[in-house]
Amino acid sequence: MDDMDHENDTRDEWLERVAALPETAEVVPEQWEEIRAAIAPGPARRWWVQAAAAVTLLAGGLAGGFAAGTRHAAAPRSSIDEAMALAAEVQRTGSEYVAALAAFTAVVDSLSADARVQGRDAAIATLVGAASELAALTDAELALNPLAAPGGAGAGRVRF
Amino acid sequence: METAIDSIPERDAAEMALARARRGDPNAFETLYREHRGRVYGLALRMTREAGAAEELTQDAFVRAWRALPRFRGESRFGTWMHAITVRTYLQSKRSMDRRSEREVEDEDMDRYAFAARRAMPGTDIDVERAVARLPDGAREVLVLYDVYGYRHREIGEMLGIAEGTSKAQLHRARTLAREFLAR
Repeated sequence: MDDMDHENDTRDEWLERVAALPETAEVVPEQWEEIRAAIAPGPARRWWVQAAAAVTLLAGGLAGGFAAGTRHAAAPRSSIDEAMALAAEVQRTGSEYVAALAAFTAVVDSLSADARVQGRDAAIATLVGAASELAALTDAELALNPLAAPGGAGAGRVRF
Repeated sequence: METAIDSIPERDAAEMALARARRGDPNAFETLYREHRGRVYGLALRMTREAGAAEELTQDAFVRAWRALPRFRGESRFGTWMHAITVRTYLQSKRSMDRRSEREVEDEDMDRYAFAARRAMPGTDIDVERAVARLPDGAREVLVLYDVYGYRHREIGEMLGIAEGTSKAQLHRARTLAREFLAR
């Protein structure tokens, strides 16, 4: 009985000490400027401008690359147009994916646990699929141009 | 201060700031940030046990709160809602951290945490803070929310995504373990 009472006293003392811990920090890092920058509407608009610029650069780069390539080996015009269209499609759907993910993230706090998990899993599955295709693209590219791989099959074979 | 919030003029000012922030006024949101950042940072520090991570969590929580603010219906107090967002943000961050690395909490970590806790909350009981910080994640999260911040098991279950019974079991485990740590 004494032991039990002692146990209860110990528990009560312990609980009192825990309950007496302050809920609020008195010294808090000043973070308002960072938060204000993060919530400002500007970055979203800038992001779209950057995405549009990236499409332009990508298309320009592709056009330049194809133009240089066709000086030596004239590729059929239709295949160039098709490649550019596909690259632009990759850029457009990629941008849509990021925008959709941002929209999901913005509302995630209001969703049920199931919906959050479902949305996150869908986002990850899409990303994994894209990464897999990108890895295949890189492999195919390296097979065409081994010298592009640092330390790859072509490295060390360059002779001047 | 809780007492200041409870006085009528202060409460009215807080409600006005909340209403304006919900309509997209960042200056009003700054008022809310200044009113609640101490409580959010205190919780963030006890959840993450690391000053840098607590700062990041606090910032992320307020940014998320701003984005979700139009959907805040006032069913709970803003402070409670902020804590729920803080806990969810912490859990998401923890899940991604857990995938990258899992390691034991070491004495050095506890020393750094004790330093950060003493700096942020000068009057706190460092021995108890250390004992709580040594607890396993699930037990610590429940004990902090229940014993320090006064939430009920139902609320804790919703915040942490666990059953009410699990919250009760974790609290029992946490209290037992923490008493042992404190006695050492």
